This record gives sequence, structure tokens and C-alpha cells, in this order.
Amino acid sequence: MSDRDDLHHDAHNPHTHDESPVDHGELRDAAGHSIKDQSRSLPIPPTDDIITDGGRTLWGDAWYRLRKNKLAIAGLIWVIFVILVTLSADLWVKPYFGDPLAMDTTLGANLQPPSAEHIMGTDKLGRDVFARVVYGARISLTVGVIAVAISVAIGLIMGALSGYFGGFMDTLIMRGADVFLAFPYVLFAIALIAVLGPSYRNVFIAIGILGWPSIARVFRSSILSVKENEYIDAAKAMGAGHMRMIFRHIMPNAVAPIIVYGTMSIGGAIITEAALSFLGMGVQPPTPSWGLMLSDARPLMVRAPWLMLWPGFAILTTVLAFVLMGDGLRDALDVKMKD
Amino acid sequence: MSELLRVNNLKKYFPVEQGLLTSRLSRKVKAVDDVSFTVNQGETLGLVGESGCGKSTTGRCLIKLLVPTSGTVEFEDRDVAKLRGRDLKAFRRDVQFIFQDPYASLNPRMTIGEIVSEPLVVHGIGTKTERRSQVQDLLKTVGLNPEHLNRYPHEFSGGQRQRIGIARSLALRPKLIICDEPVSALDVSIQAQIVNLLSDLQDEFGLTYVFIAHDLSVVRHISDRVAVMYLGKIVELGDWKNLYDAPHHPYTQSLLSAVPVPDPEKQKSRSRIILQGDVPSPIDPPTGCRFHTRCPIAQFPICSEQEPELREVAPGQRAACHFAKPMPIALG
Repeated sequence: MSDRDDLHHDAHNPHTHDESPVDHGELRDAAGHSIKDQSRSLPIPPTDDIITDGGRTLWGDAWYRLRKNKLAIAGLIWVIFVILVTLSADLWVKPYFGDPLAMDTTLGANLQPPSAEHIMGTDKLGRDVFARVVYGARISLTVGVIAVAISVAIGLIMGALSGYFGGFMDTLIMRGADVFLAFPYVLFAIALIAVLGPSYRNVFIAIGILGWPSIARVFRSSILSVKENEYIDAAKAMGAGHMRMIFRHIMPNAVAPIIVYGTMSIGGAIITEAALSFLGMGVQPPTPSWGLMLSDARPLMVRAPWLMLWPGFAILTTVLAFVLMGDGLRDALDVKMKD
Repeated sequence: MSELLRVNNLKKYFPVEQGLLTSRLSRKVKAVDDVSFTVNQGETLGLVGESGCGKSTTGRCLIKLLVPTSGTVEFEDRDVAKLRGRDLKAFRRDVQFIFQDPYASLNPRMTIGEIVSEPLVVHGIGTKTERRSQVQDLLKTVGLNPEHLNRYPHEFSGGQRQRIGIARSLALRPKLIICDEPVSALDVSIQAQIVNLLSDLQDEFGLTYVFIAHDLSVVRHISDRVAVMYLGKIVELGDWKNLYDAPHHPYTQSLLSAVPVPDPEKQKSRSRIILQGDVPSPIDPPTGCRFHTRCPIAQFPICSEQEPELREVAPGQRAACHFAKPMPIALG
């Protein structure tokens, strides 16, 4: 720790000078105008009751900042909306809009443009597109969340081992991660699925396994920077064990980037699922999946453009929602942005 | 007075990380190079020197945050490096550390109550309610509002945070506290408060301090004896009064002459020793006396060839200089 770091720290932290006497000189705002009236009414705070705002935790602060970010909240609302629609789909989509799997083989029932009966039209087998988009969200969200959960679970353990213990363990894990990252992502996923066999379950296993190296790297670097803090030395000096060090001191201070990265990864996993299904390596027909619907729509792009538009729109908005949420979380969790 | 802590020929070298193909072990930063001193029960030893002279590394070796390259640290006549298991835990109880940076030394995700009681939890002392009342007592002792138990570090100012750090270090009723520049990150007005607090606590709890600082005027207020370090070595060691009244080593003299005097007339008239150049790299320290490259009284070739011993120059005062002689420096 050099003295320069301290100066740096002080410059960022508005609380440093609270014990120094209150300046009764003329206060000026940013433009240099006198704001004397306010300064006169400023009370002199007693020494130890200054910055208190009722004991808000850092997580509480983060939520407060996130709430002020409109785009992030829009993303959050969209994600919640999609989740609610998918969860309740059996109650209203199936009875009133149609079964996503029910084909209608009557002549002229397929490839219908959007109408009152089929609000998003029908596909080449006469199935209701709206029902398929809604049920496709189930697949996409499940794949996204479970795949990321798998990557985070593996990545956290690997990153923690590598960052906390360092040395040989670090080299081993990080070179392993490099091997994973050296292959083109989608190609690796296709190869894995070719081995495991194309199915819904194998899609999230493949995406999950491929995702861990990035999580591990992010977590490792986060741990390394947290480890530099003196409170880690303080814990060591008081004789704290490894468990206390990792779970009490390092984890809570190092997980913020993982929350951000994980949220954004859900969007990425949804895209990968769509890409794999599009290529026929993912969810198999007749199960509705956004990627599969796009794939089916490709030869009919000119005759029935709505077949392509709706699942495309669903992928775009959902992925965007996750990315906006992640972006907002990054700003909200960054202590340096605190005002 | 009995010796509480004894440091014998302490050395701490850090390997310099080099490229992939060159050997990593070829070059070393000699952060602490053959340092010996003792600390008596109940006294305060000030450890002074400019940035990079190895004083913090020495402090960290004392509490086994760093393992010395060679040499020993003995606490109550036992080699700290050999402590294991229960003995190590007992040592961790007896010796505490106060950190330099009050912003980095408190876990931002823990409340003040959790931070101050953590040493008690780690060492399994007391029940939850007992610990709570003990923490409140500690907060009162260091001059904080005991009601603030549930607040987080970011709600406090630098000086208040340093008080929290001090409360934490007192929780286990230690015998020895290593203070690593506890005030250098604070405003001058608050520095005095913290130094006075430390001094009061010493009387109250019979504490022994090793007080690390780069500011001689801070050390002067609290130390019984002072050790001056330069490039990993102790160049002068003595009772504070002797050392301040009659510094023998030219480096100590230059440090003292850099202390500002509050009287502008005196400040203008006093002669100042201004050192030329920068501190040489500890990777490749100068031969002979390490200070000879910047020393105003160096004579060649003796100073660049022979390393001076830390020898007694006056009763209770030792200096490592071939030409050590007392030279009083006017201080306000």
C-alpha cells in the first residue's frame, strides 16, 4: 500500500473531512453563484452523527441506485413480464389461443397472417404462432437460467480455488480455462451436443459447461483484487480460518461482478440456445423453441414474414432486457460510482 | 523491564518477477535486510523511515503476516515462525495490528458490531449477548457512539474508521499492538486525536506498541525509543530524547531537519539538510554504507566499501555510521 493509494481513496470518498470543522465561509454552487441563504441555515452536525442515513447496507444502496436507472428497470419489468406470462400460460394461452403443438390440417388453415383468431398467425402446420412464442419462452428462459447456473456453479468454485490459493492450483485451472476458451464457442457446443446427442437437456449442459471459464476468470480477478485489501490481512492477523476468510470476507466483496456477468450471460445463453436449435442441434421438433421457429420460418420468409418476426422479436427483447439489467447492475454495484 | 519482543537479524527478500524465460529467482528486493531490535514490556518503539525503507514489511513479519527470509522474531521468548495450532492462535490473541488505511482495513459488507466482535468470534470468546455488550464498551473506549453498532463502515469518516480499527485490535486485550502508520491517511487535525487516543489506551490497558510512521513529529509524541530505517536497515536506534536532541546519523539529521518548525522566523533561519537524489533501488543497494550515495558527510573509499556496524555512540543510542557525531537540529 503506497501513500498515493490513500490520497486516491480520499479523493473519492466524501466522508473524509467530516471531523474537520464546518466551513462557515460563503458557499458557492457549481456556477460560482453564492448560495448564502442555504449556508446560513446549515446546522453544524455533532461529530459522530454525520453521514448516517439510517444504516443502509451496501446492497440496499445498490438497489436504490438500480431503481434510478430507467433502462435497467425496463429490462427488469420485461423479464418479470415474460416469466409471469410463461408461468401462467397453461391457464389462458392453451384454452383461448390454442395448443402450441396442435396442428390444423384443414386446407388453408396453415400460414395464415395474423387475425383475430390467431393474433400472430399460424405456421406451415397450422399451429398458433402466439402459443408457440409463449411456450418457446419457457424453453429459452429455462435454458438461459439453468445453463448460467451451471456455469456459475463451476466457475465460482474454480475461480475461488484459483484466486484464493494461487500457485500451482491457479496455473492448472487457468490453463484449463484457456483450453476451453481457445475453441470457437458455438463449434465447441455443436461438438459437445454431437457427442451427447441433441436434446433440450443437453443444450443447457453444453452451454453450461462452456460458460464456466469466463465466470472463473472474472471471479478469480475479482478475488485477487479483494485479497489486496487490508481487511483480509486483518482477518488473517486475528487468526481467522480459510472458511471464514472465503465466505465472510472474500465472497461478499467479490461476487458483484459475477452477478453482473451472470445476468448478461443469461441473454447470451438464450441466443446460443436459439442458434443451436436453428442449426437443428438443440431442442427437437415439435417442441416450440424460438430458434427452431426461426429455422422453420427461413424458407417462408417472403411468403409469411410474421413467422420470422415474432420469435425474432421475442429473442431480441428478452436478450436486450437481460443485458440492460446487467448493465444497470454493474453501475449499481460499483462502489466507486457512489454519490 | 522485560523484553516482550526480540527481533534477531530479520531479513525479508521478495523475488522480482521477471519474464517467462528468465529465471525468477535471480533478483530480489531486499525489503528488510538484517534488522535487530527489542521491544520492552509497556514501551513504545517508533519505527521511522521514508516510503519503501522496509518498515511496513518489518511490521508484517512481526505478526507473521509475512514469513521472514531469515532471522527470527521472538515473542515472549518463543520463535514466532515455529508457532503452530493452539500456540499460534494464542499468539494471534496477544499481538494485534492496526492498519494504515482506514478505508481498506474494514470489510465494507460487515457492520461495525460484526467487525469489532469478529476477533472474539474467531477465538470463541463469550456468548452473543456478552460480545455485544463488550463491543459497546470498546466503542465507548475509543470515543464512538455505542449505538452505531449496526452501521456500516462507509457511513463513517476516516478518523472514525480508524477508531473502529483500534477498537477491533483491542477486543482481545492484546499485549502488543503493531501500529502500521495508523495516522498517515488522516487529516492533520485528526492525527493528533488518534495519537492521543493510542497513548491513553496504552496507559489504560498496559499496552506495548511498535509504532510505524514516516513522520518524525508524530512518532515523537508517543515513542519511548525510536529506530530509524533506511533501505531495509536500521541506521540509528535510541531513546527518543537522545535521538531528537543529538542525532548521530546523517540520515536522522536530515529527517529531523525536514520537520517543519511552526515559527516562520526560525524556519527561515535554520539550516536544512536537503538530500540529493532518490532512494536507491532495494534490488541493487549500494555497497558499503547504503546511505553513502546521498550522504553529505561521506568519505571515500571507506563509506562505499565498508558497511558500518550499528555501534553504541552514546549511552542508550546506537548508530550505523563511520563518522557518527552528534549534531543537534533545531526543532520548534
